[in-house]
Amino acid sequence: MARKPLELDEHPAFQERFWTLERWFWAGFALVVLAGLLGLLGGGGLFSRSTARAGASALDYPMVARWQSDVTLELDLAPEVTTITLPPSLTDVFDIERILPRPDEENPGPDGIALVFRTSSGGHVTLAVRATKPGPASWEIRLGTAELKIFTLVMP
Amino acid sequence: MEVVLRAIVVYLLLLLIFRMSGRRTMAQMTSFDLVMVLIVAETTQQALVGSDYSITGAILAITTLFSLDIGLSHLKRHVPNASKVLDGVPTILVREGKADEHALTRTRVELEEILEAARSTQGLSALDEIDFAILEVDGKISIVPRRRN
Repeated sequence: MARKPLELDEHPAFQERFWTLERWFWAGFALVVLAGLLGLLGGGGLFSRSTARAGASALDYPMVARWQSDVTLELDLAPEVTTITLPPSLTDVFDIERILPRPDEENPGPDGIALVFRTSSGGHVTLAVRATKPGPASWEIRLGTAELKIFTLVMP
Repeated sequence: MEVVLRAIVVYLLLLLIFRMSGRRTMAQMTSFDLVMVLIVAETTQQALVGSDYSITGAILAITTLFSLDIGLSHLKRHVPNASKVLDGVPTILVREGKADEHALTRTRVELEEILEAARSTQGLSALDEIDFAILEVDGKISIVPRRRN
């Protein structure tokens, strides 16, 4: 008795197309890993942070952050700067988790929350913050009277 | 709402990643693959529920995942080609005792794996005893033995 033919739909053209697509995705996987190593997806790395300057003061901030993950804003203040103001544009994007050292005063106002460091004489202040929503975010921070405009991409 | 959206995104992303990593990736299940599955599960958990550790959140996430799974099974049943795209199609790796080298390369299957499947499922000892070896959509290898005269 002759054997019956194999009942199987091979779809060779579809398979070839899919295998090619699969290889493109593998290249995509490699690019995602590379982007992660370079810091383009946040969480540290060469391109994840940048520095903005206002006179002798400087702010080291994340260019790319991740939603609901902690990041830090590192401030090096000029000796004459004793007040950092966090406008609503910043507090809308980030929850303030921790401020080190603690400010001597926290004064809420229409322009935002003013953090006053009476004992500051050109010190370093760290703000631990957490991004509250994903997407592109433009925010400001005032160091004394100088305002810095910053852009951070918050990854989902 | 957030948990439902997270579950949908995670489900679809995992579906895409697993589908595009090839059928053999998860079907082989060596001890290292088992470790990989555990790591993927652990990594996914955080993205799935975020900081919501409530029972309601967990039930919502699980219900969403099952609903998606049921929805996709209906889609595969009723939409032509959906099954082909979502699950793939079987690939013939050996025809009448001859290995299809192109198919083996594209599916990342070693000839040794086919011989292993032939030995363990059909008790065959050589390639020319195999009529067809088929890589099924679940990543397993089916062996159709040659009829002996």
